[in-house]
Amino acid sequence: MPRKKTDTSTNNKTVIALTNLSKLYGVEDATTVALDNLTLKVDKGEFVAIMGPSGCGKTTLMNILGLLDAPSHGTYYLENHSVAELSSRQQAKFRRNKIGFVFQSFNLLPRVSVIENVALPLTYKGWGHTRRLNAASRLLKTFGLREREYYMPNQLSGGQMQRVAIARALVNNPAIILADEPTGNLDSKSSEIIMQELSEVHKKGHTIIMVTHNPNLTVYADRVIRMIDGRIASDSKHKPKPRPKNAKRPLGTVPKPREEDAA
Amino acid sequence: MITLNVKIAIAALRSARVRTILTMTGIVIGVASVTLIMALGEGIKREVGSEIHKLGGDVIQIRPGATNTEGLSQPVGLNLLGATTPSTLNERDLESVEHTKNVTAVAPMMIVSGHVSHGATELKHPFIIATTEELPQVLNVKLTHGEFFNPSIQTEVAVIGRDVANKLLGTDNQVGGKITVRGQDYTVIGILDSNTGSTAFGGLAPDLSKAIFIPFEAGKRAYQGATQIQEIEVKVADHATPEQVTAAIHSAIKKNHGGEEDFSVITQQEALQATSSIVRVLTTFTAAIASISLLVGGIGIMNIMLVSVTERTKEIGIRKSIGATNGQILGQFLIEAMVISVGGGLIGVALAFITGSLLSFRLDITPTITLPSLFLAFGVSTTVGILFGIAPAVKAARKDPIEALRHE
Repeated sequence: MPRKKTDTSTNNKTVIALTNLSKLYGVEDATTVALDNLTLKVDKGEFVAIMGPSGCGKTTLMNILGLLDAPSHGTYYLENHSVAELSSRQQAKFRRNKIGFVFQSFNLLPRVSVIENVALPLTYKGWGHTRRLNAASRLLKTFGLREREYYMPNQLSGGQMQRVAIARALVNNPAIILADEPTGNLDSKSSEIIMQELSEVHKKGHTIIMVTHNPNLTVYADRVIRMIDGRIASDSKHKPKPRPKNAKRPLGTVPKPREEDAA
Repeated sequence: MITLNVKIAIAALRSARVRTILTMTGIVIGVASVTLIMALGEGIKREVGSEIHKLGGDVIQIRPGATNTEGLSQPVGLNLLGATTPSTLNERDLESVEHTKNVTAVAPMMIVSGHVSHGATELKHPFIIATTEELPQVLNVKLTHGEFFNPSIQTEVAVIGRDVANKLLGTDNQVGGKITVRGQDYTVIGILDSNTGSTAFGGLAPDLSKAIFIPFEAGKRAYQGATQIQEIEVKVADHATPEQVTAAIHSAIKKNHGGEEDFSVITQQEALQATSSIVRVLTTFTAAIASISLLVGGIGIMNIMLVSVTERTKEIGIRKSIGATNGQILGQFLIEAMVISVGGGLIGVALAFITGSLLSFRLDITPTITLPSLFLAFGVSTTVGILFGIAPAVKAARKDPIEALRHE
């Protein structure tokens, strides 16, 4: 296990601590800056929505947070562990135990049943077949998908697939859930259901970081970060407002462009 | 973890069933043909070995007619021409052989032609050989009933095979019956045990159960004193090597014949060793050719695995994102390749077993699958799986998860 490092500026509640983090692509004069000297702290139990135009570095940030990519400069502490010091094997272990991904395109394994998909992270943990499926089954029940356990992913609706994906992300009880446009491929009704599910997950104490284009979804978050050109343009915390009942505009529709979205 | 990986691999292979079966077929054919060829070779070797054992490696044959090549004798059974033309071997040669050092027993073989009957029953295609009392010793022949000739009996007696006895006398467990050979009555004093002796019988007799042996002197009388020795069987003393005795006999007979090499001296061991080494070379050669198909099968595996890795790039990305290590991805694809090759190997060996036992009904030899050949076939197919699976598996393990996830 990696040596525990305690950053003086973090407290026990801090899950993610990024300091002066940069990510550069390309070489020399062809270099593009995806993340520019970014510093960010996320506490346990926060629901962070990251917004920003295409190319602002949201996805790069998510990849780095998810240990799929490494920063060019700067430090990243995940639960007080310096990520840079982890071997690729340990990083995989961190991904397995501390991070749950929810993707826009669901990313379920197409040839594997719903329950096996949910149980997959436990597979790599080395859990036995029965124990794995029991855990997956319990979780699917809370998502109301018990009857769909042995369906194949292509037999489900988009909303159901995303719920399966959320269940998969949760099965290891991770420290953070990274959701990249979780409702991007869903209709408004399904989007609402997914957001409510994520909200439930958040209420149970999970830290969620969600990238979205849809400002309406930020109401579920208690912190909204806007990014432009690899920097944090604004970072506001607010108490999540209750969703206005009978909202006229359905979820998932594109709102009026804001300044940064117009870019 | 390994059983799990095997399960994942089998699930993945099942989802591309036709492709898996086709890929496996390459390995199946390779393993089956290598195993079968080796089994056939082993069968032939054992057959040859049992021939040596039956005949004894210490038997030398002298036949009329020159050998084509020095040292390497004519294959057994090709001397039929010598058996029907006037022989170049005579009694003087027989005597010389008897007096050669380290010779323990000598049996001349004189083919007698003529009708054989009992009362009104006539034997078709009789096979009559005039020989001496030493024949049983030389060729390991035993009797089921009665006895063979001894030096004191040079009268008209016969020792006959079981078939002959059954056909002419209606019984094969009783001696004392009379048969007529070339118009002369012979008393049957023994019945041959067809399970003993050499079945090939130096290429002269088709089968011991169809043979009629009469004393050498009686055979000579049947031809008014003329001798026609088609073959002389010589047993070499235990302490001497057949090669030495062969050389001595060779020079003695050559002297008798005024320097003319119109005869052949063949050691049985030599003949059979030559045969078995030819078999070994042929087996190795054919197995080598067959193992090329294993190589081709291996390349087939590699090809399919590469396609599979590319096709499942996204899957690899997903697996990595939820926490699979590079090693686990490598293991998954390697095991997939090995499931194909080991599965193919198992089916191949089974196929070889089935084909082998089917062949043993049609052939005289029994294909024998030995444990080493099993290990070899299996080892080779597993190695092929690992060798040709490793490159695609490494490719899969090294995939960048971000790129892989983006892949459609």
